[in-house]
Amino acid sequence: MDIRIQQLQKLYQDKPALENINLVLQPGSFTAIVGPSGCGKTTLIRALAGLVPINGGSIIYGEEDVTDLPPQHRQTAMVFQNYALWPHMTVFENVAYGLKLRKLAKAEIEQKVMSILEKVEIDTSDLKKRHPQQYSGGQQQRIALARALVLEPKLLLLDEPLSNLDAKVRQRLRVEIRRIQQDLGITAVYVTHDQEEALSMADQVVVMNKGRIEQAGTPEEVYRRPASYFVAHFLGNSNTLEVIRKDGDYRVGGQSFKMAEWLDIKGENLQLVVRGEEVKCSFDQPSMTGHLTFAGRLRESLFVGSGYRHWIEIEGQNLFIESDSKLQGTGSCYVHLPINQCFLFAKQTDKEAREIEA
Amino acid sequence: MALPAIFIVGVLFVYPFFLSLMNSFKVKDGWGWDHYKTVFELYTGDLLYTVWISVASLAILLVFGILLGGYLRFRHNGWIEFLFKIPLFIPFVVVGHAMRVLLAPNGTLNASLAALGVIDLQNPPSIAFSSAGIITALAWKNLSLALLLLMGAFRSIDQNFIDAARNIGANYLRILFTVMVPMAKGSIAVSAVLIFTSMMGSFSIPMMLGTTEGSQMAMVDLYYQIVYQNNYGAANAIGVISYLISMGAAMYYLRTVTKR
Repeated sequence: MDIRIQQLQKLYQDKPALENINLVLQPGSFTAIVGPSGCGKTTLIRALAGLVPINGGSIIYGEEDVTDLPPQHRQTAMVFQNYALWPHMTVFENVAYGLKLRKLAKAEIEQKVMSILEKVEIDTSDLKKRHPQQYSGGQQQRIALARALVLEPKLLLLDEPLSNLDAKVRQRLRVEIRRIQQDLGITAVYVTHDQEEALSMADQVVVMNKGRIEQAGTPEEVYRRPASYFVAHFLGNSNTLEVIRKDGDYRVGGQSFKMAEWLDIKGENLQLVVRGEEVKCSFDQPSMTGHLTFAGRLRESLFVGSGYRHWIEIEGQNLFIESDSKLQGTGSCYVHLPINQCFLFAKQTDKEAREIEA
Repeated sequence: MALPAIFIVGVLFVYPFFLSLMNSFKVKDGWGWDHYKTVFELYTGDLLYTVWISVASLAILLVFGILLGGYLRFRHNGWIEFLFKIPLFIPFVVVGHAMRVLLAPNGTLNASLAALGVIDLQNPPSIAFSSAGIITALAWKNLSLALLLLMGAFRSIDQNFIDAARNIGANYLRILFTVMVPMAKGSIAVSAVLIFTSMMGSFSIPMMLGTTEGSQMAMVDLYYQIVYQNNYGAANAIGVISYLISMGAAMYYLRTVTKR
């Protein structure tokens, strides 16, 4: 059963929080919604759960329109950033809560709770005595996941579930959440502000900005073929160069170059986005096949553990690039940008640019 | 820095209390339990009645307060909130009088019921001048304070705890009683103790709405002992006993607070 979100709209005090959201969730797929704070991703996931009333559009499960159904009748289950495990209940009572509401037999509840907790790798001894606070953050989030999964929901919603956890636990839980979701074949929507999490876990990545979907596609698509300046700028370690086009010539400051591929982009003022890991820097190679080359200056190199990060200046504009090994040299250099990894967009107005920076 | 506060507590609370305690034991030729014996002989029933009235009013108040506080937590409604805060600003005597007008045999309530043909005004039932009248007035008067305390407790519960329950199938009433009330248990206990203590010491409402026959509330007995019997020893003994009952409640309060 696929889930279709059509023209969803949500207003907060007459200001759009969600605008014209169209999305299809394939059965058993994992969709990650990523975007900066306030982009509407949490509003969207809460609207899917029915916790936030919407002002327009529809949500359809297969053939069933659930737009006006209250949360308890939607068969969604949500996992929250702060776990939201009820502290006055034992772990068993927390996980069994939804099953009790469905009036299942005691033995069946017990069997389901134990089996799902084993699946999320929580020790099942003493469950009826221990309270959530007696577990670590990572374990609490596993219990919260179990509480959601035990109901076998049609749609699993995860609202930044790993944000409160430390880096190592996060890495491990990422893999496990994905494994459990695939094992159970549940359709899942995962909200995160961590693009690495989104790209590494999802079948479909949705990049949101200002209540709108900027781009939806496979992780490779959104990363390698960004549809807008926002997506290009938001994902990865992106650098922007201001480019001016005049009479078919392109110019970055005083350096000009020719490009045939970019004619369909309108305007004189353009922005070129390139990812830091794609750029190369040399001291003795004035050109490189398939690359745009600029004369620049290496200002500073920093060791960042896995490699080096370099601050390079081209015509007063800054670039931060990465390399595995230390660059042998300082000062004047050649900066090579792979043409097929350069994304060119019409320049944002100042207001748009400020919003993106924010 | 704490000295002025200690001084005020000492002068306004500790000193009068010890004075009262001593007077309750002072008899003609020295010290003894005589006043307590008198009080227990005359007023054991009244003391139990006082506890009963306070517990009953508190129970009714908590049921209403929790339902209303829960409703206002789910759906903010400034108008209802304002309406229920009004009793907070009305003095006890005025509440007593208002309830007499409303609940007396020929009061507004009975007149309305008679107009609807529910009762016969020739032989009208009376809520005022009975235990039910005192309970109604005490519950009504204290509802706003209870609501204020309960709403604060309910509002401090993170929305996600509520949404988590809604999301997996609980309706509002179930969320209220399985999630919100247990999570606000400490605050509810604190509110209950504060209100119980104030009800135990209520005077004007039982005076205006109670019966002249049968059991009286403890503070009414205390008043009679002072004004009509001029027996300060017995009055002090009633005061000390009421204090001890309230202190039992307060100890429960402190235990709940320190446990959190």
